[in-house]
Amino acid sequence: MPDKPLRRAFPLLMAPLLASLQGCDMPEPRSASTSRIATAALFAPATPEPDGNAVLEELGKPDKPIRLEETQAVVNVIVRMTFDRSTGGYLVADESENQIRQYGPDGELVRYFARHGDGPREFRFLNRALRLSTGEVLALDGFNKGVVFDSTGSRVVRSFSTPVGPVHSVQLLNDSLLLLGGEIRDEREVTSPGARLHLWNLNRDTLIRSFFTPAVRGQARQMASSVGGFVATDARADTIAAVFALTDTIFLFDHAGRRLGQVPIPFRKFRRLSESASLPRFDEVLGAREWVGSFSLISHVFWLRDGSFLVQYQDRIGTEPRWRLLHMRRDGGFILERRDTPKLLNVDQANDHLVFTRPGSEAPNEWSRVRLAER
Amino acid sequence: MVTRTARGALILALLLGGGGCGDPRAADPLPVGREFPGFARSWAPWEVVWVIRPEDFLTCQTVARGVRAFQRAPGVPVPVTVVYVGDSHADWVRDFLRRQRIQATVRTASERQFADWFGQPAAPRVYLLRRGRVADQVSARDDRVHLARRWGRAVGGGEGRGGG
Repeated sequence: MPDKPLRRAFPLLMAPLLASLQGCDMPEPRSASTSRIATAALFAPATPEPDGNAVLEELGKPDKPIRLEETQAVVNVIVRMTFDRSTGGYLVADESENQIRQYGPDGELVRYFARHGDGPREFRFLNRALRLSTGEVLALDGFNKGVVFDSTGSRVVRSFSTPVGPVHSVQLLNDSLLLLGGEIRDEREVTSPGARLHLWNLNRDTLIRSFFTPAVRGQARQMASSVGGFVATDARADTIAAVFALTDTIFLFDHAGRRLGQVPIPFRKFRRLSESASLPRFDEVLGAREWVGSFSLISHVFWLRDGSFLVQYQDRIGTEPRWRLLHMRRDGGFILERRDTPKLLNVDQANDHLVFTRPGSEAPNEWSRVRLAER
Repeated sequence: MVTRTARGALILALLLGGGGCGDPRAADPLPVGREFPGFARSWAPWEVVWVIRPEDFLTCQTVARGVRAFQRAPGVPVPVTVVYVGDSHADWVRDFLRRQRIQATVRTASERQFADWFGQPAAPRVYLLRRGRVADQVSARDDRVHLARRWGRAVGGGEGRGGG
């Protein structure tokens, strides 16, 4: 690892790269890049893929679009959304603006709070906002910081620090248990080296257990996992489903982190990272970015009511992800796989409503909601 | 196998790129009063020019939040031109600006062209121009700068709100 000054600066250096890899959203295919890696052919399939709207109709029944209200002080840039059960609306955490927004079911802005900075109500890389059963709002920064606000965001109830950063995923398992996906880079904090899931007790503000250490063998995979090693989770009842960016498998755990099983993901269009391909020169940033765009990265997993999974992955051109979506059965059976889909922001576990960015939208404040069709 | 140290070095290389975030050898900003060439200008009385290189938007913290807030602040609209100094991938800059919800005209120049015009290498800076000449500048890597507060009054607008 870097020396001490660099180690301290690491979150600030790492976060923009990760943010651009994780958070950005550009559903429409764009013209071919001038990339030296010949990616163009990968994005020009022999059989044309359905456009974004057609994909949504294929998945289910689209509702009327949602347009998130914006003001001079509120603009949606890099957003992650959670469902706000207490209101039927949404909580949006914006990593770029470091602002938390509460929206109503139709996109009306109810309130906003938090901002960029290092103060008690401030974040540097806001990752997620979730409503707790108490009505309070839990907000997580991408690096080591958690804040609990009162229900209206007007007061900080308490704050805490975690050893996890960068944070890739946040899942509330119950009132006291938070599942954080990401890395612990401070070796003093590591109880399970390489583990990427961490159970955090919200009542005691302590790390209970770290688990899920995906195998990362080979030079290319080690490098790829360092810069794009996302982990994503979803949970149903007492079981956690987890994916790692480079591994075509869904892993299942209980709430104590014990492994219950695994299901292969039946990808047909996933571009696997090749260990035999030559590695790029890392002394210039464009080459490194092109290399990151030469393989697919799993970004999200969603567990639906019928037990099936939606796996979202991305292929990148430059700074832009091209989103792909695979639907599979609980036993690993293939249902469908589509490329150039709009980004799936989240799935409401209560009713299997899928919320995407609206196909063709230039901005992340326009969403499409789809009721998943039964299959 | 890649050692932990080597991996760390590689990550940093990826993050820092060739010129590097915070590279102490980065070129000086263009001085106040310096005239910009016509290609980089919108010819408005007040305008903003953001000089950006690949490593500045691919890996480093940027002033994007400040530029975005400045554009959304009430008052006189000030056009923004982004001068991308690089030999390829101008489309990546346009993607970056769209994702950051910044409306700007993108002009491209090679490093050599930029040096020929200004007599020095490009530095990541955001310039406020008054009738085509530098009136003020800030580092384009400063993610805390509040451009609306700094420049809003001068260009005839309010101080703006929100992050900057």
